[in-house]
Amino acid sequence: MLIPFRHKILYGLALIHLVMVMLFASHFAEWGPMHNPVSRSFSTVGYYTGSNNIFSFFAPGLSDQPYVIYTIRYADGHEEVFDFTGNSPEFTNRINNIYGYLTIEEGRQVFSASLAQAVMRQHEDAQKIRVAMVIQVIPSMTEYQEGQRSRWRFWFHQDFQKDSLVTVNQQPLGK
Amino acid sequence: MISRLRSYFFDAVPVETLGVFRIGIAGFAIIQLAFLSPDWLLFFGPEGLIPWDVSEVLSTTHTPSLKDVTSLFFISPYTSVYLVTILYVFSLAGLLIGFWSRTMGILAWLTHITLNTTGHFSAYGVETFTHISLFYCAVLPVGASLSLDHRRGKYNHVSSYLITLSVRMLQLHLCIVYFSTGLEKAMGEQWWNGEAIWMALQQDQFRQIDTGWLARVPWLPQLLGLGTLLFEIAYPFAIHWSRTKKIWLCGIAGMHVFIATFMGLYLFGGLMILLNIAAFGEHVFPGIFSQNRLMTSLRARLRVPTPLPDTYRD
Repeated sequence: MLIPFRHKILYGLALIHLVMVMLFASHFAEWGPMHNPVSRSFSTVGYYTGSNNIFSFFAPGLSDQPYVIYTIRYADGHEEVFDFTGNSPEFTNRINNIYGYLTIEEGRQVFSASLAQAVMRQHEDAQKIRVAMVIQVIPSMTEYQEGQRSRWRFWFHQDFQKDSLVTVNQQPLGK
Repeated sequence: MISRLRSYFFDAVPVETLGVFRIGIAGFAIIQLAFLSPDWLLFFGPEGLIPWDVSEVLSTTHTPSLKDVTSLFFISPYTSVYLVTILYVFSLAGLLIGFWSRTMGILAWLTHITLNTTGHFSAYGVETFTHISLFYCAVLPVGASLSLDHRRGKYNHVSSYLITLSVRMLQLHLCIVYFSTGLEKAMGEQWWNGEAIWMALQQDQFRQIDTGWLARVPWLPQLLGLGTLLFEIAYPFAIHWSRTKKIWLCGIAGMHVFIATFMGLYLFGGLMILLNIAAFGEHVFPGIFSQNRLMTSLRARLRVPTPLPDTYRD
């Protein structure tokens, strides 16, 4: 079978693409610094083509589940606990992804402030928002049989004041 | 070995696989958009859960964002959200019916990248696979079957071996995905002793029904954990072997049904089942896309010729 040169190039590109998928799936980006032009080009092409993904879904295992609750204080002094649930089951899956970033200490301040701002927009007469993260600690099967049950452990909280959205109180890890 | 490889990459495969893939992905993305639409501005709006000022600064992807669209066209942030969303819906609709499939595929892929760059902090696995799929819709001849383009004769010149190459890319990409995710799971203890299944079912985030009774039968979650490892790691080999391919396709689909049902990841589970059926349905159940009544009816309407078996069509 005679294959035109143009089509041979297509086979070559397909091969390169699949090799990139394999490399990135093997955590290629973590093998070393991605500062040289070749690595950077690979990375950019990877972002556009979707070949830069790692597929660590629920791997190597599952960790304790973070969750965030919001306490809203109004001008008249009364407080309300708010659970950001959105309007579809998909909202929960997506906001939980954001909550995952709160477990990274460097990003905690900015992500907490962003979420507080979003809650503040939905409760315009709120004066203060407390963003509190809790972690669901799940017992192992053996521990469950011994009577232990899933429990929520407080991790941290940050308070935000209306109009400033700067942290007015911050409590570090409560492990 | 070489002749088998040659046969794998060059022998003709039914072109309907690409048509089913295109229709499935476009249909899925439209459903996903409908699911997300009540909270659309929270995910992608300039003052959403993560404001643009934050997502822009923290983005490392070098891909276009909604803020870039705002700057490029001198329009307001909200206008750019609506504009890109409308273009996304329009391109998906075009892709669904196979009208200007290549152009619509490129547009859907670019608009999805733009939305996803802005909303990437809330994106999870389902967006990863939507992005990958839309990229394939942009570069592969997905309009070659079950499309208005085919009816208009736009894909008559596509060589059969390029159809084969396209189908093999979808299949091999899935093989890499399952093999690598299986290996990564195998590196942890939780999947070997069943604790991963137990923990997943106990998480409030995913908890759909009471599954505390599983602790009394630990062999069951362990069996499910080991089964997951087996089905994922062996996927590239078992899905291609004639004796196991049916079991593997049904097993993987069953695994995703389990994930969707018990963990509430309906869209993710649905997309993965769709990708598996689109990529391997015809391979595992020959004729499923080309001979059943629905396809016969569609073919009659779109005037798709019957595929030639085991011969090159050009």
